[in-house]
Amino acid sequence: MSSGRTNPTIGTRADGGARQLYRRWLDHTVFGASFIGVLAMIAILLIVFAVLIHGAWMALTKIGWHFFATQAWNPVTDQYGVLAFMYGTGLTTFIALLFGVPASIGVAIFITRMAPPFLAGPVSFLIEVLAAIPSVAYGLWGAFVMSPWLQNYGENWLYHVLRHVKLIRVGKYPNNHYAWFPANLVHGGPSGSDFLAGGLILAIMIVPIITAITRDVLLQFPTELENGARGLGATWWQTTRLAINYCRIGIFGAVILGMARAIGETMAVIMVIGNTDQVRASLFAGGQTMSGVLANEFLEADHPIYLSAMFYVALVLMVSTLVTNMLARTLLSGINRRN
Amino acid sequence: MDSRFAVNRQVGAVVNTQDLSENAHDNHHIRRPAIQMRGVEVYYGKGRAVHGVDLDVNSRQVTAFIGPSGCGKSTILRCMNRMNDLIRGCRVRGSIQIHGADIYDRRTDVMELRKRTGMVFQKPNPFPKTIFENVAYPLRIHGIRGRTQVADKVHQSLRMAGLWDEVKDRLHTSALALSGGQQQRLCIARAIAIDPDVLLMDEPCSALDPIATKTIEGLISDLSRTLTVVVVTHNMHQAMRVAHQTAFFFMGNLVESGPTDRIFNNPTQPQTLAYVTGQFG
Ligand SMILES: Nc1ncnc2c1ncn2[C@@H]1O[C@H](COP(=O)(O)OP(=O)(O)OP(=O)(O)O)[C@@H](O)[C@H]1O
Ligand SMILES: [Mg+2]
Repeated sequence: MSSGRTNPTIGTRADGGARQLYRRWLDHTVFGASFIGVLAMIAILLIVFAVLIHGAWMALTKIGWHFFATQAWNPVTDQYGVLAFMYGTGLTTFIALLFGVPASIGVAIFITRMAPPFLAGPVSFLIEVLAAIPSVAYGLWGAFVMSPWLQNYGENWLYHVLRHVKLIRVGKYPNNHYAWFPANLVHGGPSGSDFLAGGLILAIMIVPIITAITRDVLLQFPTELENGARGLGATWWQTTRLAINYCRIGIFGAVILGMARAIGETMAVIMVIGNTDQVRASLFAGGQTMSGVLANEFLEADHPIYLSAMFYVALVLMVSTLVTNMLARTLLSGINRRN
Repeated sequence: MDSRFAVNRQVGAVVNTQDLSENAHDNHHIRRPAIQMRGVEVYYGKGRAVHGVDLDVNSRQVTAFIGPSGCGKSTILRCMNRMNDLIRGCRVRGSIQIHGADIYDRRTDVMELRKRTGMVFQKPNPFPKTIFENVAYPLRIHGIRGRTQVADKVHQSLRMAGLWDEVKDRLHTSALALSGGQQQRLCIARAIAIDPDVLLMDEPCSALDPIATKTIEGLISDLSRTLTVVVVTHNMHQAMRVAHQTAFFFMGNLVESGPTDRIFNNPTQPQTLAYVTGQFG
């Protein structure tokens, strides 16, 4: 026994079979469990897809591609189009990223590169607390604090700043022809329940996740490079830019996660966005998002084509999330390869 | 502020006690020191890591810092380009002048100071950029934009660092693909690209094999024709090979400094003798 231990022959079991068997068993079990987990994930994805397609089948066959060219959503006249909701999701997500990404990167830079240790910890913690607030609470705050403020102050000021800015928008021109025509970026009276409000509430909600990940990747910036740059006379900001550049792939990943959250986020948005089915260039116009219409109307869908159109919206939502993620991945690997 | 100037004044008298006379016969003429340190003390938090160092570093010579681990060599080196500013809780007292200008003066532009004092670190630290962009980086951050100007300077620096022949065909590939010794020479090229007066090197060869070390040592000698070089080393043979002057530190004190020959063959302090004969450290 002991001689086997001190001078084992390769391939023989040094200390009896039990332990060795147990270790092999552990290998197989963990390996198998992981494999089953992966299979389950793929199965769930496929099942969800199948259910959505099945539910949307009637709408898919009856409405088809028109779904994407129809702005109206009117169950009374059986008119169903996803265009307004896609636009709403796209625009609010864009506004959210526009405000949320610089803010997040700024906070992450503050935590990692500016704050003294006694501040960095608490600020980090605060950000994580923000992530834990349920979205309906953000919605309440948005509806009762942010929207009134926007209506009474914020949007008046914004109107004066942006009133001459014109965008091109696509819309229904006379006789059902689609056309591009100029429209004001801010138009109509401030309501506080509009695309801007929806985008801003999303911006606040995506800050925690983007900040947390950006902070973690910025912490990976090696001290050697920091010292290397500073030793050459780089200023704080020049070194920070080097760090951002070094961490750009991770930061990009953080932005993608934030974007996914913005696209999928529902509760808070429907509480401030105005809930109307229109495509308007104006930030002050009410709108709706894809997830918003689903949450708002799933109890009301009382006839088959209505319900089927809802499934269709869900399908479009899911595909657009997948496509965004895939695009992001391609972009990422593009950046990687260029390096 | 006040206390520093107090130290400054106090030490004014000490200057002449330095071995200026000895510099006279090692070379053709008496040089003005490039760097003058007087009563330099460094604190990390409450602990004092360096106790009152008075040292002259000669212009256009190689000065080696030797001494056992933890004796404060790196700390003193980092004072010379104020890299210690970046360490939280680090305070420096006393006066350090480079070419007559007090670098710890409130009006000193630290970025400009670091531009004039290049630094090379123990571990090669090229940026994850191309070889060309690594050497161009210091030029760009100091506002040199002209394409040909940048390219000329990059080529010149790579030649001076003895790297040109090895990389001229792959300037626009990643610097991280270079060998350790090549990376260190790239870092030297990067450090000299903005024409510093002083080059500070903290154990630049300790991560390299003997051949790469030899190359860098040759480079140090070449560079000292136009630059003032301070090199921290644990390798006493290296100090003997490359340094004109050597300073021996022990537990935060400068024990002895002078021409390398004398420090190794005829030291006045028993601690120096013990160290250079390998009895401790
Ligand atoms: N960032 C720091 N914070 C606190 N103390 C430090 C710091 N850096 C150095 N010290 C202390 O200062 C003293 C001198 O350190 P230094 O790094 O200058 O020594 P060294 O001579 O360069 O040693 P080595 O040869 O090992 O590099 C040591 O006692 C060390 O513990
Ligand atoms: Mg050191």
